[in-house]
Amino acid sequence: MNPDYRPTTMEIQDILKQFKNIQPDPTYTEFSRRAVLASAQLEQLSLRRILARVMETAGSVALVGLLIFAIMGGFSGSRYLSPVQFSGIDPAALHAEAQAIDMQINLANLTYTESTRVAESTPHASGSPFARATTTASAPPAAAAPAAAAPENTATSTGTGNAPSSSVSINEALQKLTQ
Amino acid sequence: MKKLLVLFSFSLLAGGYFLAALPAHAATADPCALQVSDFNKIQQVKNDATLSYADELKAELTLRRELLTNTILCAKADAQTLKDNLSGLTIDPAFQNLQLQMAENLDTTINFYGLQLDKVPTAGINATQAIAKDVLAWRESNYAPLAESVSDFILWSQNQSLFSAADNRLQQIDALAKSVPFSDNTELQNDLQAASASLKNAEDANDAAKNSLVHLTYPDPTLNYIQTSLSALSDTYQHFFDIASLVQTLLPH
Repeated sequence: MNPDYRPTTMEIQDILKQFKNIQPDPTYTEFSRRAVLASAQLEQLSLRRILARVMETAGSVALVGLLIFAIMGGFSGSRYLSPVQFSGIDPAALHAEAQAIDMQINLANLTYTESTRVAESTPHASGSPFARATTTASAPPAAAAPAAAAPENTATSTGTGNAPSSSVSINEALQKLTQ
Repeated sequence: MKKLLVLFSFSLLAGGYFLAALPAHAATADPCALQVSDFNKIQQVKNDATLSYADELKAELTLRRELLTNTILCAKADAQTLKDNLSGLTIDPAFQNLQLQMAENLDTTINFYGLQLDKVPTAGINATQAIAKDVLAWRESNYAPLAESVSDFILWSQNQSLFSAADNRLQQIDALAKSVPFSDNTELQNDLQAASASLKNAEDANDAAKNSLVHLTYPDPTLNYIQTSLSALSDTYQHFFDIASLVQTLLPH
């Protein structure tokens, strides 16, 4: 192109009209939009906005304070203990745990009772493991009562609990069938 | 309409028959329903003068086979129930080998019962008596100590959560006792010490039970240790109740 060339006004107008039709690359458009949206927006701080921010912060602090007050026992019966600390001596929870222990004690005593009963009702069992259970398992006084109260021939099998008095245990049945 | 009536009547009859048949079926199907009267029938047959010798033997043999079958089936079901309870335990991995070993031993017993059951249909009177003796001897020498160990193991395993709960409870109460304004109260301190001591006793007995389960000894003291541990644990809770009551009394409201 000639460096001394000077376009006419008409030519310049034509070139400018062609610029109108130039479109950006769609990928670049999307990238730019995301970059713009991701950039931090400058806020225009007004008095109203500042007041709203202060109120929000104060509200949050008040709520947290109220929560801490409640946790520390502010509304409980004591000024010294929190509900969390009180839960350690919660009677309902203590009773539930104590009852679970009582149930296990009963189970342990039931095992003892069954072993004793079978040994007593099996005449030739002396020196057998059944007799061992009788002699070694020294139950506490609480266990002795149900053991003594248990009627003869009350179980259908070892470890299966009580049954009507006319039933026999497995060992008793086998004993009868040997005769 | 007529068809509906017929259908309704049939349903009622079928339902009635089913309900009437159910208890009878259940009664005969339960091998563990072993009654003294069932065994007395053997003697009744022997004393029955109307029967010929051959008929008497036949009736006695039928009775003996039936009773022996039910007895062994009941014993087998008992062992299976014990095994199911054992296998259903959620336990510390350190005890899984012991759990498996016990389950295998129970399987051995269940298999033994199965073998004896197979002999019954072809057994004569003397053979049924011999089978009964063998099963009884097996139960006394093998099954009884095994069942006792398994029962103790199940009981001990179930107790472990109680010990954890008691330990947590003591820690909570200890923290509470330190935070109250009357933390130096003598009675409170005594109760705390008593609770701590009885929990220690309970845990010692619990450990002793664990050791006797792992190292099987004769005579087996496991159940005794378990009972001691539970008794001490119960005492611990009595002290907890005392502390709770004292704190409620002394606390300013």
